[in-house]
Amino acid sequence: MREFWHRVVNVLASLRLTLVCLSLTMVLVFVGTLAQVSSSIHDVQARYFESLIVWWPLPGGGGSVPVFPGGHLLIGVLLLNLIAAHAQRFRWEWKKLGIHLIHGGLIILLAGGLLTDFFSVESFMKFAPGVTRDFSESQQEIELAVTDSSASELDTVTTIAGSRLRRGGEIAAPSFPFRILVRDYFANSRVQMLAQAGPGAMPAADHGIGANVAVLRVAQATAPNERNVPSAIIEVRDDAGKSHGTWLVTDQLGAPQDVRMDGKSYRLEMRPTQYYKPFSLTLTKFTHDRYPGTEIPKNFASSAVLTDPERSENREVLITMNHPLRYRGHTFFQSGFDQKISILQVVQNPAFLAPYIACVIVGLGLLVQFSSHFFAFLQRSKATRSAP
Amino acid sequence: MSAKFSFTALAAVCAMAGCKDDGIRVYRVSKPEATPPAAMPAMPAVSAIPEEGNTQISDKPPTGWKAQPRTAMRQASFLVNGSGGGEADVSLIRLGGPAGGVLENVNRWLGQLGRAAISEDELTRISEMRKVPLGEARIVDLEGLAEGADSQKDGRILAAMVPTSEGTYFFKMRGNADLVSAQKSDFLDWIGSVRMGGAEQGALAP
Repeated sequence: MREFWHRVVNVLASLRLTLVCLSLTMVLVFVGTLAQVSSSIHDVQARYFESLIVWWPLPGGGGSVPVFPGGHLLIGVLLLNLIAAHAQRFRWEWKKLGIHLIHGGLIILLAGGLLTDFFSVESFMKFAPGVTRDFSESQQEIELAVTDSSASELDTVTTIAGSRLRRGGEIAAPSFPFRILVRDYFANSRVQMLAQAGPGAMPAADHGIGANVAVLRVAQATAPNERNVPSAIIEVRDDAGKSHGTWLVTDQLGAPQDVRMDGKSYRLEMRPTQYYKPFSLTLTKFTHDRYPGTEIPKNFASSAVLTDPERSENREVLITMNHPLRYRGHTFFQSGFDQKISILQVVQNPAFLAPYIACVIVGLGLLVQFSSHFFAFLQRSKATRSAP
Repeated sequence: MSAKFSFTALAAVCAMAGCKDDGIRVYRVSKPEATPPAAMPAMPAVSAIPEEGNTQISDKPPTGWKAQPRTAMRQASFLVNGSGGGEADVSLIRLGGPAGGVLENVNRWLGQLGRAAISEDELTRISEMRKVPLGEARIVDLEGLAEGADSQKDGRILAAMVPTSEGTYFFKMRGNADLVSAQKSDFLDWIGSVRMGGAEQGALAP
């Protein structure tokens, strides 16, 4: 066993592993870049770079096979490789301070990259003046929300991630008294009125809006400014297995539907994934200036009231293009606007300082390393000149 | 690298890659502030349905209507709050072609209000025609409250359908019956202000 772990450490610390990982990373970046021709950048990132393994779907829908290490695996192995090599080979000496600093900075950089990928969340908060928001929304991810509004004070919202709907099967949760069977999932779709869809078009579902429309499966969006419009056809069944109809859920309609069960109404709504906050922002004023005579944006500014009952905060804040609001691990950037709606980009990244710290440490390490060589060179040349 | 080590590492990585979150979360959240379901915001004008989502329009919404983010289908969306706590959701949607026909859509709205479907003759009797910049608008004013519906947010639908060569425009205000009734004049003025082109489009900051 001891020999096994000894070999593990030797492999992890080997320079050969470094070269293999760097070579594979280059191939991965090349292939991932080419893949953006047929897939959206979001899908490529998820499949090639934010994964341990790149899976390749077998023709005919017969599953997937692993074909290549993903970005997370390669960066993780490189990180381990760097730590193992440092621990195995380097001994503390003042004259190697620069090398130690450079390695330390690289370790922080790689670890920070992984932490950012795993834990950072980017979303958007969109509101008009006078509107209060205590949640932000994903630009890409969607979820099916089942809302029970029967309680007088708080709503109970159960969200089912789009990735879960995509997997299909039966979904149950203790917060609603029925089961959801995913009959079909459309990664990108168009909804058309039945008469518009042409002869032979079938209703998407037998309850709700789905009884009046047809849903069409279309190719997934690939352009950077496009996004998919996912839809799903679900069947609602009670605990006894009795069907309460099929329903079309899609964020294309912008209108939720009500399912009644046990005398209560439950709202079904496909929507962009929402991230709830323990505080809220109320937009009081939004201004956007343009350069005179052009449509080129010059400045955006959102005045808002930040309210946080937990921390007894109730103050005015100003968010402009180059002055984001940082609060409770969130950074709010003024991102854009849509008519009179202010759009804030909301970033939660617990490792946002890692690249700055890493760059400072690596820079310091390079300075120390090159300075020590430089001063050693000066001393040698001084000794050479003073030699008889 | 031994075969045993390679296999162990590969199995561990595949197992980690196969770990899936069940993707289900439960929240208890405060009730939406003045936000009827249909006004819940979605993405702005970033859509993969150019034929339905992003035709430029210009309009003059009445003061007091709160603009809501456009969705893939909605070209305009507003929220109206009444002094008594009532709410109404206003939307403008364009669909290609006749979009199912006027009668089918009116009957669908009646169903949403808990009322029975009507015939073509009855539709002719209850609807009125009005000339607007986009074309001839057919306007219906429907009242009813479905079982279990919230009377503060539902009870009346005021709608106008305008068929054009590019498709059918649907203007709709749905919400508290008294509020919708009080807003009828503003709603009709708004329909009269909607024109093609010249819209101020959103832009992302550089």
